[in-house]
Amino acid sequence: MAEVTSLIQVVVSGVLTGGVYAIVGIGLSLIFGVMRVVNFAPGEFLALGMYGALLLFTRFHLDPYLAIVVILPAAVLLGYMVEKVFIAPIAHAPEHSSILMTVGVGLVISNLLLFGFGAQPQSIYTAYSTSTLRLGAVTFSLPLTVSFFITVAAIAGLYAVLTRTEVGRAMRATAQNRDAAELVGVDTAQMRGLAFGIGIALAMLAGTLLLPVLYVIPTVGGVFTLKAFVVTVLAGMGNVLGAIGGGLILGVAESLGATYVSSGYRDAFGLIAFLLVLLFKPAGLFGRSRV
Amino acid sequence: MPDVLQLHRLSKHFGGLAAVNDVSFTVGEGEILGLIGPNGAGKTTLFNVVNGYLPPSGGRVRYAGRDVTGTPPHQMAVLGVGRTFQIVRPFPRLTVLENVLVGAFLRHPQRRAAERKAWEALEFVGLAQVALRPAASLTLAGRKRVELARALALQPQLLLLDEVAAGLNPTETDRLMDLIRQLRDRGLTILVVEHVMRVIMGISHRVVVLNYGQKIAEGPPQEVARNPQVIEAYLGEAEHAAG
Amino acid sequence: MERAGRTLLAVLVVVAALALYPQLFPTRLNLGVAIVLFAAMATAWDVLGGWGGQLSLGHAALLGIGGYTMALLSLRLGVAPWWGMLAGVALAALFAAGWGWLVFRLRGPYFALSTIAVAEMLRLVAINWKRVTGGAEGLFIKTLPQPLGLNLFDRTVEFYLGLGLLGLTLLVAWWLSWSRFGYYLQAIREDQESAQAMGVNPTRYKILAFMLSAAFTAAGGALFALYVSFFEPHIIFDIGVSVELALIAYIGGAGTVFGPTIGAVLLLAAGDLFRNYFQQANLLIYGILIILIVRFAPEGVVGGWAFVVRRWPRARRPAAAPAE
Repeated sequence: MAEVTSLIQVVVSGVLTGGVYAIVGIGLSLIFGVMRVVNFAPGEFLALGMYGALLLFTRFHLDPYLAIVVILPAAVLLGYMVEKVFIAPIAHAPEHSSILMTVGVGLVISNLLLFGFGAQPQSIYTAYSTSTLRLGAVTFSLPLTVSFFITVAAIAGLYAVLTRTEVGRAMRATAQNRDAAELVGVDTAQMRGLAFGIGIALAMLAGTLLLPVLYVIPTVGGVFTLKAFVVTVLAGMGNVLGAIGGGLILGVAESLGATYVSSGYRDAFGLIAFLLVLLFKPAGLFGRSRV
Repeated sequence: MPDVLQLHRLSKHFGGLAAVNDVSFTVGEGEILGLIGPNGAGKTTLFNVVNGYLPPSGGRVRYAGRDVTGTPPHQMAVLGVGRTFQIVRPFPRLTVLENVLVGAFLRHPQRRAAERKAWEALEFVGLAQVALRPAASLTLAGRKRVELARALALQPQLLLLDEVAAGLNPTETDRLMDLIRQLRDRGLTILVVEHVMRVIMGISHRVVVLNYGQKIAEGPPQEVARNPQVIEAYLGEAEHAAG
Repeated sequence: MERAGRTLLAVLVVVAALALYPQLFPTRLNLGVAIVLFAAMATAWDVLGGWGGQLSLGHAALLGIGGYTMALLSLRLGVAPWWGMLAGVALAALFAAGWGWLVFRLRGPYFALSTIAVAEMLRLVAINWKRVTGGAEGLFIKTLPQPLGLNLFDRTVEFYLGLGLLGLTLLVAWWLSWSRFGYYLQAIREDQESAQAMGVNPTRYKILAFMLSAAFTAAGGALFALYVSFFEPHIIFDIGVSVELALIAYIGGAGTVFGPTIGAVLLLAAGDLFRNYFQQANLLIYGILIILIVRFAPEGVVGGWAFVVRRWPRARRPAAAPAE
């Protein structure tokens, strides 16, 4: 019985972490789906989100969960501008140009953070940082649980926007066939900017959600960039809904692997899965790519 | 006249769609065979299957007496099959000379010999004057000739030309037909896919007509042009385009 | 072919000029060693990344193989560092052959992503295989034999070893600039389908380019291990190193003989300069420069320079003529 409980515990913590991976992965996938651009800096934007929330907390005593209201729209705007200034002008260049461009944007962000905040780890303490919920013998970290529900809400919101609104339909049309979308009057340049904005906003949202449970350093994002790649490749590049599954699979696999196989190789399980999927099922586990 | 290329019941399906359906024909040594058909008749697909870019769904391809079905494109080039692409694709950032050099290296690994061959091919197609310019800076007609020179530098026995005349003006087209005839006189075997009827009728010894992936006619150009099925296929397309 | 002769002369001039560095800046030898080593490794990276157009962001794996092989053979088995270096070079080339065979069916961003994953895997192995690699604490190279009385911990000796390696990689790049192998790589980079029609087997040439690139990167990694003498997986297998090599080559000019060297001089000197103002944030300059280069001069500093020269009065341009 104790074993079953601990197994459930491991799976639960995997699912909760997986939610964070999923949301960063969804952002990456949306950007790739609409723009055919791989954003190599989701982790840096995540770090930016963490520092944004940190600043709001220390200066204005704004709780990270409330800070979302400020950070989300600011992030969409920031992402939109980054796309217009840095990525749109090289839309027709070879594809490695956009990879190098986003790498450069990431370097600038992380080094500006380093310059502004220094390299020392920082964290915030809230009343709920170490609180847990209990359900039978299984415990849930309170902040991770709250984060998970916010993540679910954000994904549901994004899904509603993509399927129910005119803008969402235009964005999906752009992802499916850019030329055809233009023919029916979609402003695809605008959609690309918006997709990048939303993608960035999701990464920064993840950062905000992580602040109560994770120390922040300017280079915190590197790990999450890798996770986001793993998630999107597992799901199939550009498959937005699949990224949810990809994130959860990765979170649970890591959690199980770290507990039952080797904690030192925790990060390796995702990477192995990533390479296997790339090599043998490049379209991802969930079939054809779609938004 | 021994056969250089034999297609035996060749098919290529994409999902449920038969882009090439049970097509057989042969191309004899030193012959120019024209492959025509309305848009979407499967001409380019057939080319890509013959040349190894696409695996066939059924049937065989024989070249110079050996079965080459499914042989990868680079191997086909080694065996002596050169090709041009419907949508021209010279290496954009290389110069015209360097483009042709890449082809010439196949038979001449040494730079000096390869460069000599490349210049020969450029002289032949009339591009020597612009040899040091980036290939991307040429006009469409110029880039088509770069592709032709590049394919010739492979010193092929069989040349597959995919819509070489598309997008060219009448003068440019005439020059091109002249080049192709000269190649035939040098003993090359040529399979040419063409949309421009004037070109096909002017240079081909024989013509094969495809429609919806199937061969509907084969024979000398004048005879094929009078074939009611062929006329109907083309008329259908004209009506379609008009409507 | 005349141009190839001129380029060869330029290679010799560049190496000779750099050879004066220890006399000119005797107090800045650390920077000098870093410049020649990174120039050499970026030139090696460029064989695959620039000439072959396959963007690798995982070359740290090869650098690490070179460094670890040399250091471990020396520390654990007492093998002389030059044999260790050769072993590392061979191992890296073999590793690249297997890696290339697996991943070169992937195109575009998939290839770049896979390189990151492979390098990360090696880093994890280096951290966790403690018995052999010393784990996350890393390795400390304390003593080394002195071939011909040369102290391998001496910065001047290290500088000239690095310069020797740079000379070799520049010769490789020079060979690529005129040979069949080089043109085949460029053809693959420009248009893989088209290259196939020219009789080029893309997988074969990409693997060969990867092996060549890996061998020289590993040699650089071995020298890098001597240079830092203490190294941990976090430093040597870091994705930051991979990215740095790619950025150096791109900013200087990918797929050109001197681009990576120019990039290394520019970036490492600038990074050193900026360290005074931005402390650890000195990589800011890398970020800013790569953004500017991708946006305004995708051919790098070398390409930008060539563009300026082309706009110069026409007198310098020879007429297009077959006479060589």
